[in-house]
Formats: sequence, C-alpha cells, structure tokens
Amino acid sequence: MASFDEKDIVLKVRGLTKHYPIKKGVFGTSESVVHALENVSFDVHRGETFAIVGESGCGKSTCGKCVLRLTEPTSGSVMLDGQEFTQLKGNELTEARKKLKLIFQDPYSSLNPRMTVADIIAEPIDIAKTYKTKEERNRRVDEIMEAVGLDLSYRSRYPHEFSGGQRQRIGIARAIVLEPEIVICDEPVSALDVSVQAKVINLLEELQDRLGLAYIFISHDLSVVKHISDNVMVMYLGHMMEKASKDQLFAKPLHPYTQALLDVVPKIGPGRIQDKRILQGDVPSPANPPKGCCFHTRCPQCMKVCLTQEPQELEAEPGHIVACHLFDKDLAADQKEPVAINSAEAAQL
Amino acid sequence: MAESTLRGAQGENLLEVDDLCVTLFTDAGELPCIQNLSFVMRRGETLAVVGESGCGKSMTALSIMNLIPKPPAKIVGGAIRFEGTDLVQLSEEQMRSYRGNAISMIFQEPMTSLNPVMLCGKQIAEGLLVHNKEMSKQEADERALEMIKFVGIPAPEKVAHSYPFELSGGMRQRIMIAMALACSPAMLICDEPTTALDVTIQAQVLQLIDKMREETNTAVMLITHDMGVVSEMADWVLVMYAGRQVEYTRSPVLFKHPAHPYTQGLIDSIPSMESSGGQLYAIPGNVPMLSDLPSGCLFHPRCPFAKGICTKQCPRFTPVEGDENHQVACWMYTDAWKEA
Repeated sequence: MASFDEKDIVLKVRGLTKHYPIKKGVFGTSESVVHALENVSFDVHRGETFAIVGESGCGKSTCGKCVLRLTEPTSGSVMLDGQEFTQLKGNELTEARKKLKLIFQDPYSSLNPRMTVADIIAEPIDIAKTYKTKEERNRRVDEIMEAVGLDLSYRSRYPHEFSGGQRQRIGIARAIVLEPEIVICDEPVSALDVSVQAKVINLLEELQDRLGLAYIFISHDLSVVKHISDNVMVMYLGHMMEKASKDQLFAKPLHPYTQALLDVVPKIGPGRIQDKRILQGDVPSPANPPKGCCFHTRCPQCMKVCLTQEPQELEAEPGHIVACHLFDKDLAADQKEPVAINSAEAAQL
Repeated sequence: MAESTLRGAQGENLLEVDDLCVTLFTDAGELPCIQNLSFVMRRGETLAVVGESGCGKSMTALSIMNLIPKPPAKIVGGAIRFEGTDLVQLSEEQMRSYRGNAISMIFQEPMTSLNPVMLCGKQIAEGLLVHNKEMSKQEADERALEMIKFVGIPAPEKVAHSYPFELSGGMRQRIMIAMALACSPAMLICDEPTTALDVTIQAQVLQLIDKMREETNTAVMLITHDMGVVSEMADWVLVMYAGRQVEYTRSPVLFKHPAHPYTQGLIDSIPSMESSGGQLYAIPGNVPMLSDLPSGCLFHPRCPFAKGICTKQCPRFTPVEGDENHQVACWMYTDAWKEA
C-alpha cells in the first residue's frame, strides 16, 4: 500500500450537505426535500486512497459529485489545496478542476461513441490548452496510453470496438492525462468481470504509486475496498456512520451498521448463507428519513435515545470516528434502555 | 408446499444434461456456443454455474428452458432429460406445460422481467391460472397472497395491490421469486438473481432462495460470478469457459483444491477479506470470441502451465485421481502430461 503523509491534506471537506427539492404541483413549488447528503466531513491526504462505502442511495455518489461540483452542494465547504473550491467561478474554476478528475462506473455510457480513443483521451488537454503544438499533444496521448496499457495502434479506433476492461482503461487515461491530484473513482470496477476487475485494480494502484495520486474510491464492494483503500468512510442515508483507517475498520468495526455490512459480504469458507445474521428491512426513503439516528429502524442495538436524538460524531478510539449513541459515555441509564424495533413496521412509518 | 416434498428424495437425480451442443448460425458462420456439456442436477441441491461473461452460462440456462433465441441459436446435439423426459424433443406446446410449472426461472433484472402495468398479485396469479386449468381466479389470488407472505414481504395485501414501480429492487426480486415458486417447481434456475441488488438485500434474497430450496426440496441452478456467493450457497459447482465445462465438483472441494488453472485464476483474482494489499492475480488475456476459438484446449493462450500438447488437442472431461465427483478438462491430470 502506498504510504502517504498524514499532514499533507489535499482535500478538506467540511459539513457537505445536499438537498434535492421535490417539485410538486402546477407551479413546481417544492414542498419537501430529499436529504441526499447530510453534514459530511472528511480529509483526503496526498497519495491516499479514501474509500466511501454504503448501499445504494446512501449518498456516496452524491458526495463525489458535490466535491466535483457536478451538482452544487446545498451547503458546506470543499478546500482543495487550501483554496475554497465551492466559491470558484469561471477561469479559476476551470483551472482548479484540472486537479480533480472522475472515473465513471459504466465504461459503456461514459465514452463518446463518435470520438476516437485518442480524441477522448486528449479532450481534457484540449480544453485546458496545456500543449501548444499538435505534436506535443499527440506525444502526451501516446505516453498516457502506454501508461494505462493500451496498445498505440488503438489510437484511431472507436469505443465500441473495445471490451469493458479496455474501455475502463480509456476512462482512466482520460482522467489522469492532466496529472490531477485527486481522482474520484465512482464504482470503477463494479461493471467488470472478476479477472478484468483485478487488472483494473492493479492498474489503479500502479498509477497511484507512480503519479502520487489520491483516490476517492466509491464502492459498495467491501472486499475491493479492503484491498485498495487506506482510510474508509461508511455512509448510510446521507450520513457518515463510521470513519477510520482500513485496518481499524475491518479489524474492529464499531458501528452496528458497519458490523452488519461486514457480516453479509459473501465469503469463501465453510459458512453457509442459512446461518448468517442478515440485516432485515430496506433502506428508508431519503425524502422522509427516520427521526433521531437514521439507522434506528434497522439497528439490532437500538436504544431509547436513538429514536429522538441524532448521534454526534465521536472519536471512540484515536483516529476512529463513529456516529453512534452506543459510544456516548454521557448518556443517562434510562436513555440507554434497549428498544425492540420491528424493521418491517418501522419501514411503513 | 407439502406436495413437492413428496415428489422425490433429496439428492435424487432430477435433471441430466447429456453431451449438449448449441450452435449459433450466423452470417459469420457456425459458432459453437455450448460444446459437449454434461452435468446432473439433484433434488434439494444447489448447482452453481460460474465463469466470466460470454462463457455460455446463461445460454445453458436458456437451453434447459428451451428459450434460446431461435434463430440464430439451435440445439444441435445431446439431450436434456428432466425426470426422464428429453426436453429437447418436446414440441413448443408440450414445453409450455413445463416452463414456469415444473421448471421456473428468476432473471437478473427484476424491473425488466415484471409487467409494469399489471398488479403484482395478478402477475403471480396469472402463472397459476395458466398451469392449473381447474383453479378459480379467487383461489389463484389467495395462493398469490400466500406466496407473497411466504417470501417474507411485510404488508402482503398492500404489495399484492401495488405495481412493480412502487416497490424497491429487493421487493421486486421477492415478487419474482414468489412468481417462480407459485407452481411449486421441481427446479428453479436463477440467472444472476442478485447482481442488481445491494449487499444486504442480496444476502436477504439469497437466504430466501436457500430456505425455499430446503423447504420445498427444489433443485436450484445458480448462475453467478461471485465466488463468495458460490461458497455460501452451492453444493455443486460447474465452471464453464468459452462454452465448455472445465471443472465440475462439490463446492467445498472446489475452493480447497481447484484443479483447473482457470478455476484457480478465478479464485485468485478476487480480493480477499482475510488478507489485503499486494498485487491481485489477474488471468492474462480475455475470453476468446466464439468466431475465433483457439486450437486444442480453449484456455491454453491464457494458461500459465500450457505445454505443447495443450495447443494441439482438446483435453477430455475426466475424473481427477479417479474421483467421479471431481471432473476436470485439463491435460495436467492425465498421463499424457508427464510425457509432454
């Protein structure tokens, strides 16, 4: 695993929040909002892989988009190299965006079918006008194609001629051609076969070592996250649940949700699925999130206080942050009274 | 569900696929999509079919259901014997009485396989009415509701009167399962049933399928690419590569002693939850195109152990060290290997 400097923070996200208004009625007046992202804070260090995990609808992709300002966050701050990224406009924004790039989940829909591979890869440099002459530009494209393991003869081919893994390589080449500081990888391997997945993961790691990239790795696959990441943030319904270094999180998950997630990962071994403890119920609607702790409707260790009071982020162990009342030492005994929650009923509420 | 438990003992052979060959007749020529495939499925047991995309997993399932796209695909040889009847020889009319009745299937995408303009309860009842001529509509509705309860859906009455778009992905897949199990089939084919679902929902659905298998003594064919799921669900595993079977064995044996280099590669390329870091093993190259299959063993261009013999002749599917329950198609386990 690539080592990184604890003090060298490239990206500092504080209190990032995104609400999507639900438009109703003839005039499109919004009455309620979807709470896609609620008060999320984290740091990304240079050369680090920071993973965001959770089920679909937990806000992990929204988080990535808000950091990039592909959708404008409702509130919160994103500091990129000490510069407030959310306030930038015009040329300054274009300039700053060179440092932040994105790799998409679906290698089939994220490449323009009418552009050749070389043009797709060169598009960011064309927009940023990095190179004066055509020769320099083409040389750079060749360099990057070699770096991601694409044969140079593919230069003038079109995306439909490639397999999923090859297309993902093109997507990666396009993301790194401007030498960004941070690459946001939104489920980059989940659409790929295992053997292809392994190749892409190896490539991402190799590029990180070589170019000192920081990754924000968004994934629902915990085994991939365990392999690639340095620090992990677990999200649920737009909220940060737990944040720790990979070793801490996987060795000693504190939040009941993280524990449940780790329990259900299919593992090779003697265990059968019948004997598994599986988290029941569905993720509640983010348009109408549960009161108190948003996980209380499915939590096996729900307490009285969880129904009414939202848990604060606590540092349960050095560097291990968790948002759960179980680790709040100041709670009165009556607040800690366990509550049996019927997840099915709660989902109906 | 009592009637199906009476149908036969667990472990009894239910389906025998014998030397099945499926060919695609295209403009580019005849493409062998499945070659010499033979396996058995037993009552109350789960067979997992694994392999990369394009290895013929789904084609195998569709051949059993006789749902392969004709043309271009055609079963050119072999037999699929279900309780002694060769499904390949049946007419379309005869096949229809098996489909959805004795053999059911669950598809990958629950949204695209449910009728969007039909109430969920009605969709389940529809299948029942087709296969049970004497059943009244009311009885079918009652049975549908019973099935919805059976698959663990909270508020079954409400869900029966909902349209598919009103339900979450996990709920839709449960409706699919309820539909597939409504006629208490002897065999259930699940084609990547949980790929579109979240991990916790995936585990819920898989646990449900496994519970159903146990309670109704159904034979389950599980098509998946997730080795973790295979380990937790399957009794038997069939590994396919480029339309051929390369390994067939009991599931614990497969993970302890994978014999075929392809199986070993598949298992090694998964990031493990136990260890982390380091480079992942990746099988070099890609699955060959059907129009451009290599000579000899189809896996030899990607195989780290390939010798001269592998490029010339295709290995037979034979038991490893005389173990009938562990068969592999690889020269490494034959006498010819030492000489080569």
